[in-house]
Amino acid sequence: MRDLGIRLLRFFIRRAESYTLLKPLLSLYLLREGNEAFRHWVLFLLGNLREAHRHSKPVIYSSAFFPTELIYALGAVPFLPEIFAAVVAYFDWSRRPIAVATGELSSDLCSFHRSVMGLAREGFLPPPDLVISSSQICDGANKFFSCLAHLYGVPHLLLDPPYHAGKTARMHLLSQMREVFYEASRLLGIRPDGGRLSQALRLSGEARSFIERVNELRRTVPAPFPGSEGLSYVAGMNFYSLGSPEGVRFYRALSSHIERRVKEGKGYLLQERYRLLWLHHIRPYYPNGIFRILEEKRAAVVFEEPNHLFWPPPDPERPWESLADKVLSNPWTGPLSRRIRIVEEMIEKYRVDGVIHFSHWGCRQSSGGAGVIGDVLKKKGIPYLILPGDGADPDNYSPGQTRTRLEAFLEMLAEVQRG
Amino acid sequence: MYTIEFFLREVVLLRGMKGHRVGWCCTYLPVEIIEAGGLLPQRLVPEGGGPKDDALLDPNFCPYIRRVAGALMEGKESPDGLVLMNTCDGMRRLFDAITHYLPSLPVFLLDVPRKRDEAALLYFYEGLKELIAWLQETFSVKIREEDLREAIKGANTTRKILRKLWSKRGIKASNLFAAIRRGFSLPREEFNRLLKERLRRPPEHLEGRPILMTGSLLEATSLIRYVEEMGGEVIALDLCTGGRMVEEVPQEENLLLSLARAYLRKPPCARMAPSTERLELLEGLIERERPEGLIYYASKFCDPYLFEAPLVRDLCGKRGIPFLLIEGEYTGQVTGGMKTRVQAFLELGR
Amino acid sequence: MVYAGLDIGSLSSEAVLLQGDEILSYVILPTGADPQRAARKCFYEALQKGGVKEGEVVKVVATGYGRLRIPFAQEQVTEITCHAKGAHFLFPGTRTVIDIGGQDSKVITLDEAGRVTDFVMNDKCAAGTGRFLEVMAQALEMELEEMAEEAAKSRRSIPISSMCTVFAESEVISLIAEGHRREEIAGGLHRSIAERIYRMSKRLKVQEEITFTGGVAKNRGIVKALEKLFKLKINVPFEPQIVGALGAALVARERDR
Repeated sequence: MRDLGIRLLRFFIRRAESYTLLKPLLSLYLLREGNEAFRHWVLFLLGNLREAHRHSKPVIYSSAFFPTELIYALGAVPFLPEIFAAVVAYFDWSRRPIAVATGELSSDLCSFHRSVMGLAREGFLPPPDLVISSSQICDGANKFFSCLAHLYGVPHLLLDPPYHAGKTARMHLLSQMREVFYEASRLLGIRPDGGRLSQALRLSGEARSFIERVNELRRTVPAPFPGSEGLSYVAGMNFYSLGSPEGVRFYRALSSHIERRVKEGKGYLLQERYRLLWLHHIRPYYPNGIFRILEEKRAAVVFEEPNHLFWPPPDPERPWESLADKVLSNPWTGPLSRRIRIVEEMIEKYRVDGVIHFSHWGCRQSSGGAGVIGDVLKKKGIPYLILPGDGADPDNYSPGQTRTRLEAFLEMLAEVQRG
Repeated sequence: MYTIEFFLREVVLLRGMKGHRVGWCCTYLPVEIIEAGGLLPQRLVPEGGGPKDDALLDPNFCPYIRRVAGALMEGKESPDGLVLMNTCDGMRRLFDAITHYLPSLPVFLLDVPRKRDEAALLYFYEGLKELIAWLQETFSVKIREEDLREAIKGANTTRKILRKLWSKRGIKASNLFAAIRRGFSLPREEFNRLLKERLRRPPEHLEGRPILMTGSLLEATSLIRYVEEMGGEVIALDLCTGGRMVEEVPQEENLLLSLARAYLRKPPCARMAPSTERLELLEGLIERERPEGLIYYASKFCDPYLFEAPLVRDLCGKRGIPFLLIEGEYTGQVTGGMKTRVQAFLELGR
Repeated sequence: MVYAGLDIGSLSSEAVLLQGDEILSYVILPTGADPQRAARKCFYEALQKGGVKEGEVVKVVATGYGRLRIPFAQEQVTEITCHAKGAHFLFPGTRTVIDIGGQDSKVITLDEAGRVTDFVMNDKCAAGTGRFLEVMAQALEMELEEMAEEAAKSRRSIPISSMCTVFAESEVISLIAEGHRREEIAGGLHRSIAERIYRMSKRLKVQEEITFTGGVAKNRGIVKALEKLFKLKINVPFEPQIVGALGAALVARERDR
């Protein structure tokens, strides 16, 4: 019976028509919500899935932080499996794919990656024509994308940004980017179009100016926009939509939404006692109590790491240099000191009282730095909490322990405020 | 198994090299460069475990890297300089932890590209030039062409002897592995002397089910020995510390470029791209050596290898040979659970 | 004015009644399956023991895993804050608290006012906690206290390598089978628990004085092993199990303004 259910589900998920149907329905429903930006996200996601399953354009799998401008410039549909895994977790559907994958993949590996492998194995993903990923963030992702490419029998192109930032490094990155673009064009049998690249950069530049505005508006006290949403669909759009017109529309809507709230003087919390900064690009996406607990104690997550704007405005006349700048300025490349500098900057700009570092299970590249970050912050007298957890696997979530850690941290903050 | 003579010579030499010891962790480092500067490269392989291991890095972290961090903090390892590479997430965070907690220790980070094409090679080559500049400045030495030539010659000798030892098939893998491990802290001439002495020994009697071992675990002596005790014979060792370092470096026009090429293009670690190359290499090994089983001995929490394991399992399935995955701690301690698995594995089909 | 503190843990529940700076009474009970019932029971027993009427209690604060479901507690505070305050009250020189309970362990650093400055918890598994000791005592066929005494006495100790309680048990059984002396095995077990705490503590800035709280503090073997590792004398309260509840009562007093 369950097997029939899975097969039916897969049937509907794989048909572009399902999304064609869903889109207007959800669009109408969401019009009632106050937040235009969220509606744009839902429509974008549905549209993306429809295009990916319809397959009238080439489908390219990619990694978070890969410059999607390149993919849009290839006239392809990007599909970001890691983001998709977050969406699946959001609906609390990730237990099964994770169980499917954890037979062959160690449970010490990232649950987002395992979830995707499980989804892929059961045929829930739109098959790609090409896999292009960046090695910037983590080891797991590199192998994960090659496993996906291997599974679907398609080529895997890797962009391997250098660790250092000097001139030679830059040239090495530039030549790689060009190579990836031309090789991808060749493999897809399309003509490489420099004009489309410039257009994609123009669009991401436009989106960027709204991002800047949004980030500036979020400095208002009390915080007008919740970090939990910053960590979900706003980060999602950040990874997915730059270089597309939808990206511009989204950020414009978000900017208007937050501007309205700032004008009304509304914070997203009725009473804001503590201002917190969240570190890491993710949070647990399945239903969990973290943000409710924080809200209970009037702690607002005023800003989060994935939405920090680290890249300079792109110049559509110099597309390759702009893209290289974007990739090289990512604070998660190179030494940890770069990330730490950004954290200190955010603490100051957003008038943060305390910092939470979410240490996602299996995410060694970020958890490995949490100690040093804490050391630096503690020396500056900034209360800091390492919150261990799992972004996609609800079976790896301990509510009691999470609550105890969060509450103990907030009690510490209370003492600081009192004394 | 070594004599008092070796021991004394080793102590004297090592003592004499104080102030000139450069620690390193990953075999993508062309150690000849360090030797060319008259410095002593010391692969960091600290003993046991200590209290500081968890302090710096997450407990769910590569046990080797945690131990290196702990040992450096405790002063159990005290090189005069350190060369690290960004070969894996762990190594990058190790660099961050060490530069933060031990700011007085000179550390150089060598960028190792994942790809191995011409562009990557040139980039790696530029990085080696910077390494040379750093060594010259930090240790007040000069690294000249002749020095590099000498060092490459010495290292090539090592590789030649190692190849002979492997092909002889008259030496137990566990003993060979142990000898290679010891070589990490010995000066080149000593290591070559030790290996030559090994070569002269009468061949050991070996027989057992031929097993191929691949993976990322540094300290595999105990497991290899156990495999031998249980009737297996490890005929090929694709570990960073095993069979991946036996190709000689050709003495071309541009020595440094030649070195860069030889190291970057040696049999790859799982962190290199594309993954297909490693699978092809393993397939080739299986074809040549005809093992009756493959043991995948990965370090705990080692993402590149743990992700690759299912692909290798599929490959073994295709080739009809049994596959065994073992995740190990850095100390290479063979637990009861491992013993059971290995024994059962070796009993398969018997 | 009487203040009450309740510590409802997964294995045991405690209640402390505080008047001024005096502990009027305290009670320790097994929590059982119903934390609410356990809370009521130990509260009322404490009232009885202290000869206090319920109306005299001005404020009740609850802590521990079961703190959220106590309807008659006016406030809930984490055990981290409570253990810090309780330990600091008993030993004002305390700047570090080691708490090993039934199922988890913590190291907490505090300032001169008893306020928490940092903490680290190990609650992913039972290794190194009271539960672990119970299982091992069974494996060695000794009483808990007996095992602790033997461990404290043993001059040699056999290192136990397993990180996990379940595997450590098998290891102990095989060590017994190999003929090793039970005192030495007990010593090894106690040493490994102390070492785990020591390693955990390295993530913080441990300063003296160190106070040891929680049920496991009654174990002399662990205390000695910890003193050896930290090279410091460790304070052990007269009744280490009630420090959490005491801290909760102190919070009640503090917050009643």
